[in-house]
Amino acid sequence: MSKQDDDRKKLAQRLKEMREYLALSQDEVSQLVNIPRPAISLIESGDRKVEVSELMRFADAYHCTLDQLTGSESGEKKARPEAAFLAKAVAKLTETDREELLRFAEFLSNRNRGKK
Amino acid sequence: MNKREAILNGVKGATASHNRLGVRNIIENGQRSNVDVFGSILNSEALLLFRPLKNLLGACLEGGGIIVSTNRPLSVQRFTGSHEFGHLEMRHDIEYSFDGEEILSFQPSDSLVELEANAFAGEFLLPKWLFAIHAKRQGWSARRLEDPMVVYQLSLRVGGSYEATIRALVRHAIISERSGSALHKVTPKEIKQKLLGNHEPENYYRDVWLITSKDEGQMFEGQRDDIFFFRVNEKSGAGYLWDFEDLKKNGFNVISDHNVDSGDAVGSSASREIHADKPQRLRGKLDFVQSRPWQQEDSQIEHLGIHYDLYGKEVGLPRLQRPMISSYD
Repeated sequence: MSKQDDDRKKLAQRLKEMREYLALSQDEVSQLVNIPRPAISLIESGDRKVEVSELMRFADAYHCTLDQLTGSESGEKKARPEAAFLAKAVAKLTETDREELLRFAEFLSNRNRGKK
Repeated sequence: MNKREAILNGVKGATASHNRLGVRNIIENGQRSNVDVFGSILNSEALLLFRPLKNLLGACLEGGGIIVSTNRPLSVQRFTGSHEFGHLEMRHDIEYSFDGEEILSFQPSDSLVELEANAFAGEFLLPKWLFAIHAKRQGWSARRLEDPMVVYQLSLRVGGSYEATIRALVRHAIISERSGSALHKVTPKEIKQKLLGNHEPENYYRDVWLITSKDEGQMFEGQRDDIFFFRVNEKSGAGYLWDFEDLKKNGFNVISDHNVDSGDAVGSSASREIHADKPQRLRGKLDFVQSRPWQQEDSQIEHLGIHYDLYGKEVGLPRLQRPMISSYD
């Protein structure tokens, strides 16, 4: 597999994960980003190239940054919030709740960085 | 700040938010029957998301993030969202707030910030003027609001639980504490049984909406399995009949359809009662007319039109941020 193919597969996986995180259907995403639904399916399986302009529409629909979708290292590091505050409330939280809150904090951080 | 001041601040904050967001106008002109909590959060540019949380009902994070659990019904999601919105609207200087079942108990919290957010939530969701609008529309006197059936129907329309609605009616001094206690003794299940008569549903989590001609033009926001119970006057003695074909057009399952006679004199009126549920389209509009079937439109003497949205609890991205809701089904 070429690096280009590998990158495309990773991007496909991130796009699918983001869609599932937001509980959006492929039909809904199709309407949000103005790309036909079969193409969304191909994009998520890594079988179709994504143009930069399309990627920007995905970032907009998913309330995140391009960095988050492309998996830019600097983006991921900046986006990861301090986890200390979650540890303080550990007694109240289950492991899955803590994971959900961490992911949401990351999502919020990305959204807010994208707005600046 | 003491506890009393925290509660007063929360109530004042909710009123200020109602005014800023024009919430009352939207309900007065019939666009909605309840306070649009999630729309208000999004209008304030906060990030709102619904995800499965086990031990929490919701949380508010610094930077304008609100997460609400998908493991509870819509009425609890609405209250949780309202509580978290309170933290943002009251500009609480907090890094985070993780909120569990305690916010539903309405017990005085040790934390003044949480107490303030809870007071905000109660007032934002169930203000006195909202009850006044519904009571006026339905012709309910204060006395009628001591009837469990009426309070249950009110709770569905204002988007609160039966219990939360009773507490709010007492808090606003619309009914006495004694009446509130009496209402609490009657369970929603008992009320639903009465509304359903011989029909036994698979469970009593489902709500039963009693819809009459007083509901003309209203929006009903419920859950997928809710049951609509239409009760309308029909001048069958004079040849007038209600046409409920729109139920079938929207894919509703008609559970029962019968007339309850009020007398056998020629020209007398009777009640038509229809139970229907599980529409194929979860969001839509129903239009019914009462006319003489052989004279069609010329003889129309009454119209009942309602909007409904039975998508129920929110999951993932808020529905308001999704495209073309009507295409979900």
